[in-house]
Amino acid sequence: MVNEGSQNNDGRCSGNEPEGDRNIVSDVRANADRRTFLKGTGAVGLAASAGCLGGSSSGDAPSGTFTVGVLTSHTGTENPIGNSIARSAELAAEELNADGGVLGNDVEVSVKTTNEQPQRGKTKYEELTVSEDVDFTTGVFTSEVLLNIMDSIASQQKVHMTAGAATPEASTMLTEDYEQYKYWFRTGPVNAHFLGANMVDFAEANFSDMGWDSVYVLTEDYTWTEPVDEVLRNQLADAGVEVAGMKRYAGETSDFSTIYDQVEASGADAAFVAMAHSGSTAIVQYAKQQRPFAFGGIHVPMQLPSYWSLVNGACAYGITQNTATPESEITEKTVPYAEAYNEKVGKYPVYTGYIAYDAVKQYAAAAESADSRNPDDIVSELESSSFTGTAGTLRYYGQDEEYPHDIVYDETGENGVNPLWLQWKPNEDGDGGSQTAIYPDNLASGSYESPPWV
Amino acid sequence: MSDTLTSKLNPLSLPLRQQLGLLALALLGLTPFWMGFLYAGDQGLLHIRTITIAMFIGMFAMSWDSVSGYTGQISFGHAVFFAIGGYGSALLNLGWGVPPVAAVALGTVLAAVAGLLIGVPALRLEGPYLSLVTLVAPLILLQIFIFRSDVFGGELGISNPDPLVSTSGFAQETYVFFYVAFALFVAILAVLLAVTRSDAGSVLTAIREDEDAVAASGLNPAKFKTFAFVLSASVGGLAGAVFVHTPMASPTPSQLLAQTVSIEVIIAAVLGGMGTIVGAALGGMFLSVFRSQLSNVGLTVPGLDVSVGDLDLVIFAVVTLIILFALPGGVLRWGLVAGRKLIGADSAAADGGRTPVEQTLEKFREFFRGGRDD
Repeated sequence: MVNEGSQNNDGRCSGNEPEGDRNIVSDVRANADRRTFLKGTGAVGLAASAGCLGGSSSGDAPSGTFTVGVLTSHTGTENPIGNSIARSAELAAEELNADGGVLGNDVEVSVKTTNEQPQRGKTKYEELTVSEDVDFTTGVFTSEVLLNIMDSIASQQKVHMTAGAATPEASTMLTEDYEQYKYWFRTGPVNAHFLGANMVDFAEANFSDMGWDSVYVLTEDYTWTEPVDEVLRNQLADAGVEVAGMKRYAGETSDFSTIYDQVEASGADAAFVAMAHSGSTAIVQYAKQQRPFAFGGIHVPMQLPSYWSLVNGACAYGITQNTATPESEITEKTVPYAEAYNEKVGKYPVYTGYIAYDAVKQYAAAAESADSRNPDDIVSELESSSFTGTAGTLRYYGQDEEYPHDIVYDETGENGVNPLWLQWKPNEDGDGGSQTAIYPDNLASGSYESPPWV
Repeated sequence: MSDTLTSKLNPLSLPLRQQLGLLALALLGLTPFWMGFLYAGDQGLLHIRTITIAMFIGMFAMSWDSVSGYTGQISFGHAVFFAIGGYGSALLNLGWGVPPVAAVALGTVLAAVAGLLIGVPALRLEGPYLSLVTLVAPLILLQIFIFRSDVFGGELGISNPDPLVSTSGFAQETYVFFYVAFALFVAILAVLLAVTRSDAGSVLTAIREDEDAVAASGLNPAKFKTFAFVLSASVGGLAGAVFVHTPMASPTPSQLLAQTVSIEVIIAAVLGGMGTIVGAALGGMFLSVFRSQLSNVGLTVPGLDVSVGDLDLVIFAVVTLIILFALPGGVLRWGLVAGRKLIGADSAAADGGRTPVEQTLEKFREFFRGGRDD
């Protein structure tokens, strides 16, 4: 799973804000409600005089064909993250149609690309909700785009179920003004705080068996790793793990030799990492140099099912957190979905695909259950629902909890979603490699193997 | 005197090109009305919003053109002023509860001060030093924003401040902010045209053509350049500040501070007609609307398996390059020359026919050659 390993215009990553102490960025959001009392005081006559155009149908329940608006990053087949969102939403719609549609209506999908640009994301969101009057929206890969459309989601009052962006800032906005932002939900991944929490849980459950008694934490210097860093700094030692060192390195790092020298000198058993952009450079150099420590953590590129061939096997013995693998039976829906996607697209999906597919299916189930397409009815239904998706049990935190409408993280996987961990292992015949689930135990198809050179 | 003023303000006594300009401005102002005839329902509203955003990009381009287009001192980082105006205004409003109008005013002042701080030392140096300083300035500011992400929100930016005008509903919001943008667009256009068509503007143009000659005539080029730079920074800061108080934008690096913003503004101004103000405004608006329209093209590029919409920036850049090769003086100049030919009023260029782009390039060449050949 994980964060959005995305690149913005300026060449930097979109990331996530720390969820810890509220800063001015968060504090100021509380001021948003000051806008409401000002409403209706300005330029009404002007608008009325120019009112030859119809207003938007915000808040009205759509009728006729059931339309899903999808905001994805890019849709080219070489962009697995964006492509997985779009194709998975379409796959879900095809399956719903084959099963009679939703509330007796056919389901259609309208895909718009954001190119990871906030301004474009907002425009495309408005096209979907205003011009096309979709029932609800899903997708949105980058946090920067998501935060830029939060006010539009509030304004249009159509349910949005995020599939990609991990910033905790979005749910914080609900904490501060629930009524305004209640139409937003995050179906996945777990937010950036829980990404770190899951790393700690994994460490606590496995490190002693893996021989990772001491780790050196390496995180790329992008905003999304800040909540991860904070959790690791505060909780890793409590989990019985010796932290030999922590380093935030520049995201543009092209030579990891010095960094690996530091890890090696510290005597750590492993580099425990959080990497997106710099991940491939890091793993290739690690493999070439065959450093005497193991390697793994949140490594976004390693989540790609086709990654072995992309880096000529440099990912061998690396481990990473993920939503699912094509073979992992997280629920009875996981493998059938991955196979159906592979049949449709010719490749297996990445984590955003599982989430987008789940979002469409859960929304449809909520509409059926509420027997309504009214957004307020759907919000109530989603808040109380527990839905079995491909990524696990989909439930959302309530209004009074720390992260309202964020997907529930549950280490047991029974009352929420629980990321799985996989290791890339060489195939026995020496031809390529494959992802082997190693945790949680009920999903594990193998156990962790230490790299032979360690 | 009053007769002169009256005749200047009488559209019927203006040259044809200015009459056409006023007509275009009037058509722009009537966008909400004619858009209603062209598009049914909410589609028209979205186009009005697109044009609203385009006007802000036009304002950014005018801001750049008022200094770089006239003095030939290329600023590669004008986004720094948009960001200071936008972020400054947003933070004042969100953090301290300053009302939007006052926050916009203070944000503009902050941008002007930044213009002074960056411009005074840089502009007193010769050659492309201003370009180098302005190239680095937004990078430094972005690093500060990331380093102090608790205040500036890092790469995610900060949340939207209060809107400049309170509205109710998507349609009303669209109309109101269209006219907010239009009023600001007209005001900035008028101020910058007045300044650049004044004696001071002539000095600025002379600086671009031959700075040594200006100094030799007893004028202080640095003083004029500093004035233009601070004016430009103020205008850019004002546009950035108002922009973030509309529902069309947020105070985020990608909208106000990224290097691509600075570069797009330069492309827009050069494309429209460097050193004309009106051309920069047209270029900025064209850039914004053209990219927006490209993003809606669903055709797939053969062989790449990528839709045209995904390649909007690439296609825009290629089209821009082609236009620049074909029309190095910018589209506006080409239009004026073509128009004069059409009505038989062609006249020779007083400066020997060199465009501002060519003049500016010549200055840079001289610097890197180590001085003038003569």
